[in-house]
Amino acid sequence: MTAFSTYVLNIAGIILLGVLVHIILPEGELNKFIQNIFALIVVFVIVSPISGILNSSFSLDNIIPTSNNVIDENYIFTVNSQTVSYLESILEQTLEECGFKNVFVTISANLMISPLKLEKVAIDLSKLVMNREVQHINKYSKIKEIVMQNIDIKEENIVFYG
Amino acid sequence: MKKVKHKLNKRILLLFILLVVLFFIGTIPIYASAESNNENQVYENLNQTIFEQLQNLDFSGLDNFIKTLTFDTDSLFPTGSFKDKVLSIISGEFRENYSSILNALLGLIFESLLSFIPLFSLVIGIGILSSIMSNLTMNSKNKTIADIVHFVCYSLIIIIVFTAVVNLSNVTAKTLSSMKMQIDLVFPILLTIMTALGSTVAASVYQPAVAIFSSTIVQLFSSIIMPLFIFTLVFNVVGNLSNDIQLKKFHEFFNSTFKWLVGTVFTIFTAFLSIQGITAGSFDKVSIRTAKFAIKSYVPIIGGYLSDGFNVIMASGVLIKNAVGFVGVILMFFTILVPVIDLVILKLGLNLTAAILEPITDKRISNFIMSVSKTLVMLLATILAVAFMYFIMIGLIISTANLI
Repeated sequence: MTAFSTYVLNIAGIILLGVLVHIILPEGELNKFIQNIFALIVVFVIVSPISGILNSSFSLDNIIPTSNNVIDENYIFTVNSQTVSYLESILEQTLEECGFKNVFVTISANLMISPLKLEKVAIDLSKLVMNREVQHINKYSKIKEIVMQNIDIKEENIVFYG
Repeated sequence: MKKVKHKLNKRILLLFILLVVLFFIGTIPIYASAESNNENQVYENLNQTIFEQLQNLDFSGLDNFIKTLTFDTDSLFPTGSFKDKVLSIISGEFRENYSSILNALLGLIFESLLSFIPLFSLVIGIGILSSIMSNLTMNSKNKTIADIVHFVCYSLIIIIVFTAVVNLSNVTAKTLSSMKMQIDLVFPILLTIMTALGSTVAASVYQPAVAIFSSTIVQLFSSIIMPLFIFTLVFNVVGNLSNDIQLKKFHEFFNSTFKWLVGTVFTIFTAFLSIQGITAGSFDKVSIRTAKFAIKSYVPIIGGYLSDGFNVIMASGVLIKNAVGFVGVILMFFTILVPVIDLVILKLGLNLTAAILEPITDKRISNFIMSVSKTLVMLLATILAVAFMYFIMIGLIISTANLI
């Protein structure tokens, strides 16, 4: 910035000087001659920084940013945990509609990344009450089937306990 | 030159229309598709989800920023908190009183006019004095004295006009840094919400764009265009100092460099960003839709509930995102309002002063005032270009990432 203001001041100064000389000098041949010399000096002052600009090492790294915006992980965590708790409640509701009452579903997932990726589904069957029509079928495979229909998870990641 | 200007004007007009269209798309209300029987429940659910999500968004940077603003923020942020304003917009309590806004606007214009009137009258007075004195000295056929009189009066006018112009250029620099701060505060929040909503492709497009916008472009405007403005001003002053040394072409050169620079940056940035943003937004939309359809087709009865529940979580995210963007736009509008009004008033006033002085004084003085007034367009364009890019980015983010 200092180089820049020096440059601007140089130009303004040299022209100011030229004007003062023009005013002070008497009319005549000499005056015209001096005016021409001043015009030359003005041109010289104006073009003088060009060589400096050409020699300077200009790199794009100073202009292109390296910093990225920081993502607020707190918010992503909130939205993901809302989604997970919603999925848990909807799974419990679905299972109840299919005849499996009092099933507690716990989904574990990495809540800090988006999009959300589910890791494990733990199903608590300790208080399970089954309807009569589903009593004769394999409850584990039926529950697994329902869970896999509703959410994107592999069979081996569904765990039962209780 | 005129053609270029005309083209630029046309381009700005086109972009403005695009912006307005984007805003209308963006503000189309989002309805969570609710069954009639559980409508209230969904509404309550939505409110609770929104509240919970808002609680976990960090607005402290913006709150601190609001405290640093010089204009009266009480009408805009009654509680001084960004979050409260967002919440009031989401809940539909946002009703701006248009007549009071108009009154405030007129008040601002009048105030700035009053503050500049002494300057204009002083310049006109000195101009008239200079013409009278040079006429008197011309009678005695002494050209040197006429020259000196012109020189002294011209210097006086330069000093008077420059105090106002330098003051405004400082205000512009401050406004630019304040705009940069806003960009750095608002966009991370918007990008966070987008990422959380699963609009990852669009977020990955906007993230580098925001970084380039906030550092490269704003830097370019403050470190190249502000010096260009000073250059143009200086060449303008010295070019009108004497009849012998003419520097008009230099003045024109810097002027057109400025126009090309601003035009190019503006066009490239907005064009690339719009196309990329819209494409990425629709890509995200399609990928989310397929996921939703998969759920629905597997489980015919309960799948409906499942997708609707997702809608509540996503709708609250989208509502928050759009409200944050909207408040951001309002904040930006109020940030640029005062400097823009001041610049326009000074520019028009100098125009009028030059017109009044033209028949009376030496043509160099009226030329100088006229070209200072033309140079002020640079400052105006700098603020408006950055603000427009900001509006377009927010408009795009509001309109493209509505994944429900």
